Amino acid sequence: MMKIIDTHVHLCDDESFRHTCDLEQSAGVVKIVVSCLEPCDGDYKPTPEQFRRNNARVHEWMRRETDFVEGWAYVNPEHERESLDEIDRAINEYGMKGIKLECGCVCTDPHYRPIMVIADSLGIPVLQHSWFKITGCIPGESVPHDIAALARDFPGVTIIMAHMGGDWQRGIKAVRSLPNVLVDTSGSIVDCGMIEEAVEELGAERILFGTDLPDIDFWTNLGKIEGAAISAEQKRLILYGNASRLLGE
Amino acid sequence: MIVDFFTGTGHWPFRKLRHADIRGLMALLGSEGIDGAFVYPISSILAKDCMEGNREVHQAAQDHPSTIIPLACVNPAFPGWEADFAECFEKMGFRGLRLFPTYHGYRLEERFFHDVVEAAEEKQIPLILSVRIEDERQHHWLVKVPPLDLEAAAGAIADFPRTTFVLSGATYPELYSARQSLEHADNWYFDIARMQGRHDNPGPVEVLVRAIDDFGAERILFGSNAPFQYIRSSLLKVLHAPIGEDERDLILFGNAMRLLAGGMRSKADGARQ
Repeated sequence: MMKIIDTHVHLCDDESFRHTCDLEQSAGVVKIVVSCLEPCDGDYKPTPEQFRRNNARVHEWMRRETDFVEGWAYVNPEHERESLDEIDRAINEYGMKGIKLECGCVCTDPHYRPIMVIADSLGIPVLQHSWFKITGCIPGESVPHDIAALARDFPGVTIIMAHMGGDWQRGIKAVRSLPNVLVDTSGSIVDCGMIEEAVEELGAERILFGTDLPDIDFWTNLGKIEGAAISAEQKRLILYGNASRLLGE
Repeated sequence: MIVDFFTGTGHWPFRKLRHADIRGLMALLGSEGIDGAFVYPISSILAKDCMEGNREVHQAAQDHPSTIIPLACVNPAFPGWEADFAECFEKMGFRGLRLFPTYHGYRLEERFFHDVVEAAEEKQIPLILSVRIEDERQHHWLVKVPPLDLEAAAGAIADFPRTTFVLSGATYPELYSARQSLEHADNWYFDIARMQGRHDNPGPVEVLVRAIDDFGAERILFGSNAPFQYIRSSLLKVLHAPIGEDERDLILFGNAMRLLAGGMRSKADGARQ
């Protein structure tokens, strides 16, 4: 069985923690990198109190499943001072691996600057939600163009464009020339050819496996990689090797 | 044995589909261990003349009779569909009819649709109603097509109890929201190609478990939406679902074979109690 690291997992409570761990471990996943986005009410603009509580929950799950659960520090750039304090706590005290940013504001917003400066100085990656929707984005949602602009401004920070930008054709084109941008494969889009095209345009070394569990079915996501017409070594890099390197293993 | 209910072949203008020609599709089906596939003409979704695509699928079925189960497509809002329908089912041996109401620009309440259902009913041909082909968020900016209204589909299913319908490409919340309108009818199935997870399935329960609980395994068809989507994504979902082996067999091939034989879901079958 090929080793797998799932770099894009959201947990919200103990039930989802246990269920997700059991499911992923039975499927051969050796590590998951988790953020908690509660309350998941479609707003994604947590208060400082909320993101502090979320990160503390993730820390607790990291303690319960040492070596299996790693953490993303989730903050809201609109709350600048509190976000910087929380990143310091999450990275230095909790031992989290990077920063998770969702839809607090679009990633070209000036509020992002101090967070990116800190990420640069700490040498940690930023996992940024991104989804271009022709049907209309939600408030604060970043599209691949925004990710590219952020990556140009901070070439020393590794930015992971989540969901390959949603509209993956647009996402791949937007970040192709920016080597500091990786993409993750998480989400509900399972378009045949998306993984092959990402490998051809970006290289397998810039692709990370993720699921978006528990929002999206694990097997649906794994099927994208297993079913792609790419080499076994490219699958190994996507499922495990790249994330292992990113996490400093 | 595995039968993929939701595959197509032919040209699609918005991106180059890998495995879209019949040689590519056959290779893909073979590599994924698919024994039989219902195949519709992709080009007929957007072409004015659906018959061009129908002829491609017909030829493919002639060339690969042990694998391809051909589905025709007509647009009942376009002149001359009756003759095309007759050619497809009286001369060319198609086994079912796939409709694209939202792409072809008619509503299920309109006369066009009633006419084609009556024609299908007379010949006992299953009717597949395409809810969507691509995720609406990914559509081309010039061609934004809404999903099929499942309440309208439920109305048609109730109005034509002697016709077997398949709701193809629905998400789970769409299906679930129409359950009260659908639950008394026996003449319908659905496929799982667009049922991807918790958005479709609140709570940490695999979507197939939920679907079986709510609707019964006897209604569910394995479908991948290849070559638009990876077959493996749909296949792993079924192979790893915590369901009974009898239920898995129904989903992977049993229901498709019953549908092909002209059977409807038995009134004795039911969702788990």
